[in-house]
Amino acid sequence: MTSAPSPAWRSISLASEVAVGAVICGIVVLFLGLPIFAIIERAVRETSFFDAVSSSGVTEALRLSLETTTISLVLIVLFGTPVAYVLSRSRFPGHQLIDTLIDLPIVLPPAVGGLGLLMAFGRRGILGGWLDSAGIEIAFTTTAVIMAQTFVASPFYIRAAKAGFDAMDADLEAVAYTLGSSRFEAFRRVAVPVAMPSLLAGAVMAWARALGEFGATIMFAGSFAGRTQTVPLAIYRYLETGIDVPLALSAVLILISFAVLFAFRLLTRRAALTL
Amino acid sequence: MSRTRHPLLLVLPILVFAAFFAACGDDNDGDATTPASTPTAVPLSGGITVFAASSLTNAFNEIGGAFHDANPGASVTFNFAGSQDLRTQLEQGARADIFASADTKQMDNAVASGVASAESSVFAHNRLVVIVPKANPAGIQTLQDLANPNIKLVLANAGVPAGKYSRQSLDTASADPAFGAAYKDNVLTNLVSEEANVKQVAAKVQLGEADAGIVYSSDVTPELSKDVTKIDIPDTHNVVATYTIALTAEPSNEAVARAFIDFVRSDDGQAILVSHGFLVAGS
Repeated sequence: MTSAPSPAWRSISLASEVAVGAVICGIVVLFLGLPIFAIIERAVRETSFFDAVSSSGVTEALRLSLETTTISLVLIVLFGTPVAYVLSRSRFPGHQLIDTLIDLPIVLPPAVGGLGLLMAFGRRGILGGWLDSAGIEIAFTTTAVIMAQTFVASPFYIRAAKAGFDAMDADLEAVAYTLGSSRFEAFRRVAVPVAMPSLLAGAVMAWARALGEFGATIMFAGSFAGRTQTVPLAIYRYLETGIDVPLALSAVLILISFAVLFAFRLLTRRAALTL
Repeated sequence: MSRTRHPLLLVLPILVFAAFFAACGDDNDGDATTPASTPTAVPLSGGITVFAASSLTNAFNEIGGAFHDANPGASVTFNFAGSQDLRTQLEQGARADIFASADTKQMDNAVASGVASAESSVFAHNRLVVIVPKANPAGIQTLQDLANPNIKLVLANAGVPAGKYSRQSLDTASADPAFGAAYKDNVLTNLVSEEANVKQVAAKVQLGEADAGIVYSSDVTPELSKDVTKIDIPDTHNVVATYTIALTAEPSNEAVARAFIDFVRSDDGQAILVSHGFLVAGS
């Protein structure tokens, strides 16, 4: 009787918990949401918004961003999925080292990535002379943009994919082996489908990171309209001449990103319900 | 019962963060700052903030040191960025005492929007030079060579003063029969990157990624000279950048700010600017 709290006391503590939780959530939502709202509100209020959106600089940057991030994402998934699977399923000397190496671009400032790419693939880089004699030029090309995006974004995919493979029941593949599947078939027909939600989540995060990529790109690829000037670079470039175009680009970028993240959320929720 | 602690535990890291940032806030004066010393018998005391074009970085840091030596009670903090960025920052309410712009346009805009005092004055000029990597892979010897095919040229983008001047310089050369009317177009065909500021142009050439770039003569520091070769642009085709300085609309320390502007324009200040590759106001 004395040890159990009275119902009144319990409801008060519950109410205060809810109140504190609501206040903290409110602060966070405001902090994250206000800058986003401010950009959209200001962009739409500017009478020149639609002119700015349809100006050639904006559409060119958007096209380049969508193209390069799509190619980057395909490369990341194509190469990242087997890497994540191998890291999840096998243990070998240097496993931890490779695991750590793959995480590194997440913590490095992107400018470091850009500098590293220059030192490796630039004209005076480690592979520069070899690439030069092979007639391959990377710096200042769209290829450089894709390499910069792939460098900074692939860890996000590999991380999520590995976590997905780690979480699944390894017995599932064992069953596949006993039914005569090869390792590759077990990977393709069992592991990948089962881990699909994690793979999709990783792909969305990697794509989003590639879309926002700035530091490594401007360092390694430079900034040239239609060739290397993606949306983040165009936002920075047009800030020099006014606020209209950067605002329009920012607003469009926000809307696209939000739409993709939101659609992904709905899709995975539906997938979870049907499972 | 124990669950009631959770919200408070959530608040704790926020408080720790806030305390951390508050502590960091005091430590905001990097290399660019001359530390404030206690006011002595000298009349000038207190700190000012100077917003200056990034091409002024080295020269103004040295001038700031010399100003502080001459006025131990006064200290100067710099914020270096593109003139356009600085003007935008001022218009968005950034607090500063002085605005030093790399062109008259950004100063005029700042005056027009009421963030800079109308009594601005010219304190230095700068001229353009072509730089190529020491190894000079494209074999560029003259200004005309910039129009050769398959050169990787980088310029500052047309929105920043250095980029605007570079294009004006190409325009005047195109008007010269010695270069030919197609000169500018041929040169711009070689453009592989429009950098956000002139320091990035210098960096791309220094790294050897670009075959040539156009920068201010003041950008070719002794450090940069180790890696690049300068090719002069003749006066007739050169565009001289005009640097202007003014008090902001609401300086926090007008006495020190005025003294700093006077110092920049004094013989001592002008000598420092010359040593960093600038041309002085009278020239």
